[in-house]
Amino acid sequence: MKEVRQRLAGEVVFVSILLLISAFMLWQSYKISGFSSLSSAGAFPMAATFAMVVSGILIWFQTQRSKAAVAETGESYPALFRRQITPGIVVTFVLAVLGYAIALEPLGFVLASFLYLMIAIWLLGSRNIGKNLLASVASMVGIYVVFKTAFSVVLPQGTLLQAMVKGTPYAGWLP
Amino acid sequence: MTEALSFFLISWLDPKLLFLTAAGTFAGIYIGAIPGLSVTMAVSILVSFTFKWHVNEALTLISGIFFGGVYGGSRSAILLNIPGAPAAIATGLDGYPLAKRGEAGRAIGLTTVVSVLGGFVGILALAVAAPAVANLALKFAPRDYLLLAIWGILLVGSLSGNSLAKGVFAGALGMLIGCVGLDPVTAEPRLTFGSLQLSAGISYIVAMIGFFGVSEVMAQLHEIHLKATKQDVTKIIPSWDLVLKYLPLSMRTSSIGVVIGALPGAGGDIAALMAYDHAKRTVKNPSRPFGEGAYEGLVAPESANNAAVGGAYIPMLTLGIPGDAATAVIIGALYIHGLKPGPMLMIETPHLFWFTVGSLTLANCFLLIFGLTGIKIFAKIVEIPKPILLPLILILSSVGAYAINNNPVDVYWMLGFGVLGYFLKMYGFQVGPVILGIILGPLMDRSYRQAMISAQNNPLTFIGEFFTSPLSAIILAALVFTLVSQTSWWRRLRGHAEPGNA
Repeated sequence: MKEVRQRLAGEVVFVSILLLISAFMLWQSYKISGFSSLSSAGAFPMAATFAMVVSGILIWFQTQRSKAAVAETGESYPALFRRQITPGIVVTFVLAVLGYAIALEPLGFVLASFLYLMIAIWLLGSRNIGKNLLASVASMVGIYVVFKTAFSVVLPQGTLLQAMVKGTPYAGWLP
Repeated sequence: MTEALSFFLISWLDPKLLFLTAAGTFAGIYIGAIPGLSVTMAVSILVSFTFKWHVNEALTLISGIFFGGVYGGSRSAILLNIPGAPAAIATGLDGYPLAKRGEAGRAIGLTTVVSVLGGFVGILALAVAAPAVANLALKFAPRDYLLLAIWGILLVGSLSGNSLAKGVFAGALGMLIGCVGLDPVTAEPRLTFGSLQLSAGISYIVAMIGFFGVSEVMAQLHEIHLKATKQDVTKIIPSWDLVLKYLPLSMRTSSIGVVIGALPGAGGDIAALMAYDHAKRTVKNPSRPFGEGAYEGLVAPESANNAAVGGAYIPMLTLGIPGDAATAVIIGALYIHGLKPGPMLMIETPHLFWFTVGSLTLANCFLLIFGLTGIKIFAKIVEIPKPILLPLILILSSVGAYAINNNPVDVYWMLGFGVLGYFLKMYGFQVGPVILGIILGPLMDRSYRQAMISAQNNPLTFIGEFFTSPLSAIILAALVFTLVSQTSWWRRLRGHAEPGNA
C-alpha cells in the first residue's frame, strides 16, 4: 500500500524547521506551569508539543531515508526548489494577495477587490484586458449584491476614500 | 413522535428554508464539480458569512452544500478524470473509462441514483443511531472523550496520508494552535508571547479558511494551464433494471459508508476507497473488468461517500467529535451559533436534531432532482477558467476571514495559515488532522484535566481507569489497534498470514 515517497527539494530543511519550532514550543509550553501539577494549564500544550517533537524526529529520519528528488542536468538545488515548490506564479500570487490584504482597509472592499482581480487574472495568464475587465466587473457586482442582500457581512469601506470625500458632495456615494 | 415529525418538516414547509436547501444543494453540486473547490473549503468560507443568520437558515444551507458537494465531485471525475473532491477519487477509476466509451450520461445517471440511495441509508442510520449513541454518550467520562478525540486524529492521520508520523504531527500542531490564548480553566495566558491579540486565541475559522481555501488555491496554481477535454452527455436517467441490478451492492457499500463515516475522523474519501476495494474483492463477474468501466466500480464508491455524510453527522451531533474534516468545520459553525454539539444537544435541543435530519433528507431529494435534470448546466461550470476562478476564491476567503471580527489582521493570519498549509501539503502532510486538532484541542484539554483532577492528580489512578472502565478499555483497544496496524511488523505478520495479499 505505502509507496516510497520521493523527497522534494527543500523537504529536509522544512522538516528540520518544523522540528526546531516544535522543540521551541515545547520549551514555551514547559514555561507555562512547568511540572507543578499534572492537571495544570501547561500540561496539555506540553503533551501536544511533545507529540510534535517525537513525530517530528520520526519524520526527519523518514525524510532522510527517502530518495532525493532527481535534479535535471545542471539544475542547482535552489533552482529545483523554485521549480517544484515555489514557482514564480505561486510567489507573485501570494504577493498579490498580500497587497490586497494591505489595500483592503484604506481602499475599501470594492476598489481593492476590483484592482486585485484585474492584477491577479492578468498574472495568471489571461492577457485579454477587455475580457478581464468584464469578468472583474461582473464578479464584483455579483459578490457585492450577494453580500449586501443575502449575507449581512460588513465590508471594509475604505478609510482613505472616506477621508478624501469627507465634506464633499460625493460623501454619500461610497458603497 | 409527532413532535419529532413536526421538527423534521420545518425545512420542508418554510418556503425560505426550502429555497435555501435547494440553493445550497445546487451550489454544492457546482462547487463539488469544480476540481479544486472542496466542500470543506466552501463550508469554511460560508460559516463566516452566515454567522449572523438564524441558525436554522445557516444549517440548511450548509447541509445542502455538504450533500451536494460530496455528490458533485463525481461529475468531474467521470467527465474529466479529475476528482472534484477527495471523496470522488475512486469514482474516476471506472467512471472515466465509461465516459470514454460514450456512456457518460448513463454513468452520471447511475451515480446520481446510487448517491441518493446511499444518502438515504446514511440519514436513516443517523436518525436511528444518534439518539441511542447520545444516550450511551451520557455515560462517557471525560477520559473517554479524550480517547475518542485522540483516536479520531489518529484515524484521519493514518488512513488518509502515507505517513502516520506526519498525521500525528499535523494533529498535534492543530491541538497546539487550539491552545493559544487564555486557558479556559484558569485564565492564564498560554503561548501568547505577551501579545494581547493572541490572548483572544487564534480564530479557528480563519485557520480553516487559510488551510482549506488559500493553500488549496496555491496548490492549484501548479496546474493552471491544464486544459480539460469535453465529453458529450446524453441519456441520463438510468433504466430501472440497471438500478435494481446494482441495488444490493449499493446497499452493502452504503453500510460501509455509514460505518466509516461514523468513525471519528474518517470520512467520505476513505469510505469510497474502502467500498471500491470491497466491490473489487466481492463482485465475481463485474459488467466489465474493474478499471475499464465497470458499473460496480461506480456504484460502490458513490453509494458509500454519500452514506458517509449521514454517518459523519452521528459523532458530530452526539459526541461533538467530527466524523471528518467537513463536519469539523460544521462543528465550528454550530459553536459560532452558540450550540454545543454533544450528548446534551439531543436532550436540550431535540428540535435541532430532527430539523437537521429533515433538512438532510430534503437536500437528498433535491440532489435527485438536480442530478438528473441539470446536467448540461453543471457541465458548463467546470469550464470557468482558473485564472478567474482562483482570484475569486481568494476574495471570498479574505472577506470570510475579515468578517468574523471585522478585523483586517485576520486576513494576514489567513494568508499565513495558507502559506503554511501550502508547504505542509507540498511536503506530504495532510491538513485535515490540523483542523481536527484545532477543533478537538480545547475539548481534549478540558477532558484530560477533568479526568486528571478526578484521579486526584495521581497518574497511576488516571491510567488505571482506562483499563477498569469497560467503555474506556474498548476505545483504548481500538486506538491501540489503529496505531499497531500502521507499524511495519503488523504488515509483516499479515503478510505471513495471508500470502499474496500483502
